[in-house]
Amino acid sequence: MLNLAYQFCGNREEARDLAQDIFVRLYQSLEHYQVGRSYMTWMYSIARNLCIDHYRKRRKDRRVVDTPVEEYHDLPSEDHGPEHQVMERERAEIIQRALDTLGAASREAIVMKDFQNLSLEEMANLLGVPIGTVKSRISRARVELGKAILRFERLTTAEVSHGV
Amino acid sequence: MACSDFRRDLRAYLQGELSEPRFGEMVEHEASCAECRLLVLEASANQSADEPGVERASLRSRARAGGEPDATFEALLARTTGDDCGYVERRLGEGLDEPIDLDLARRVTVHLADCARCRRLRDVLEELPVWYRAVPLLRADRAFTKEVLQRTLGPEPGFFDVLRAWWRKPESLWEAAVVCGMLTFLMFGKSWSTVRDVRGRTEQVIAAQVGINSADALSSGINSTYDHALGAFSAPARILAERWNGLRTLVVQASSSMERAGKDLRTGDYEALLRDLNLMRGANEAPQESPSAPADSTGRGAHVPETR
Repeated sequence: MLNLAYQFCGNREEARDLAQDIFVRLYQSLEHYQVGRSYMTWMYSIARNLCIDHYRKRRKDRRVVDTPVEEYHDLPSEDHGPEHQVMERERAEIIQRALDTLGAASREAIVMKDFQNLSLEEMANLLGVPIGTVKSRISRARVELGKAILRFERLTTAEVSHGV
Repeated sequence: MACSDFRRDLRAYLQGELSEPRFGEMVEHEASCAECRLLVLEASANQSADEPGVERASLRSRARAGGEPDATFEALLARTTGDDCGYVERRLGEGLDEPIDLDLARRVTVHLADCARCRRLRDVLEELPVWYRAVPLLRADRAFTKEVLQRTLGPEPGFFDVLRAWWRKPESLWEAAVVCGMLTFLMFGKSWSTVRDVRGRTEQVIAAQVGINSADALSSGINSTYDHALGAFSAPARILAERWNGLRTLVVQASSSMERAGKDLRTGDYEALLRDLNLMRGANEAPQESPSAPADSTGRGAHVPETR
């Protein structure tokens, strides 16, 4: 749940708060849980609503985009040497920035399919749309993300060459 | 209808959002104006490219129905679909999870040969799992768990809260009784040694101040008094110890019988198993049978022990 929140907001502190909100909401909604219904789907639907609300609010407040580089300093490294670590750090920064540029629906599709590994059927149930729509959302979101990655890659290269 | 009006409502027209009279006017105009027909064709191609699985054949038949030559259609299709970067991007996205149609794949390959940007995008899309791995995974630490518990279940209860909650439980009376019994036992254990010390010191004082004889006399009196008191204290303890020993013996006997029975069962020695089971049953029933005595003619027991 903590990682789901983090993948939505891209900031540790916010993710902690958001994950706590999710747990509190789950606890408060326990009495509405229908026995026999998939627990995961129920849990994801609550978590998703909170994450989407938070993400939209955050984008509206324009407090997004630049996650500090320090955020990635404690990434798990596998002893590949300093160059590899620098590269990994750059990658982490670029993907995070690229994810932050996505719209709520696109980010949701990426997080659920590629990070949380939900199946298409689960996503369709959760989002209340046909599987074909889920597929097209995922495909569109990936292209959007790919383009953003390309842009930030170029931007990072330009920043490095200009010594920024 | 003017062409400008047609262009303004084209999107709603294609998406079926127009009401009937307006829709009819649009159909009339499309049928009569070649330029607007081409517009419709182009917009349809763009729109259909947004939705997977739309057949090119339907576009072609629509173009033919509108009287457009094949060459015009091919040029339009090339401009709106096959050679368009946007079109290729969409196909690349679709092709990540499942293979795309061979014909489409060929067109995409042709486009990628000429377009460096789309090639790079394809590479990035194929590398997406590697990019995802760069996003760190968070672990919930103890502080996080504590905060969540505080927010859901309230603050951590203090000593008196725990005590109060415990006291409200129905079984707390039994627990309290057991604890009190244990405390009493500990206190008695201590008091015995204290009593003995006090007695020894009293005897010494009497011997020093009154004389040995008087001290002996007093000592024997004190001895008998204390022995009586200690006897009263030790009687329940002795009974408990006897019962405990009896219980322990029963448990040991039962477990050894069970072991023997298990061994017999494993070895298939059913006669021995039966014997052991009879022994166990006999051991269980024996204490119940022994007190019963043959009744006399009045129906009373033959021997009723006197009680004080």
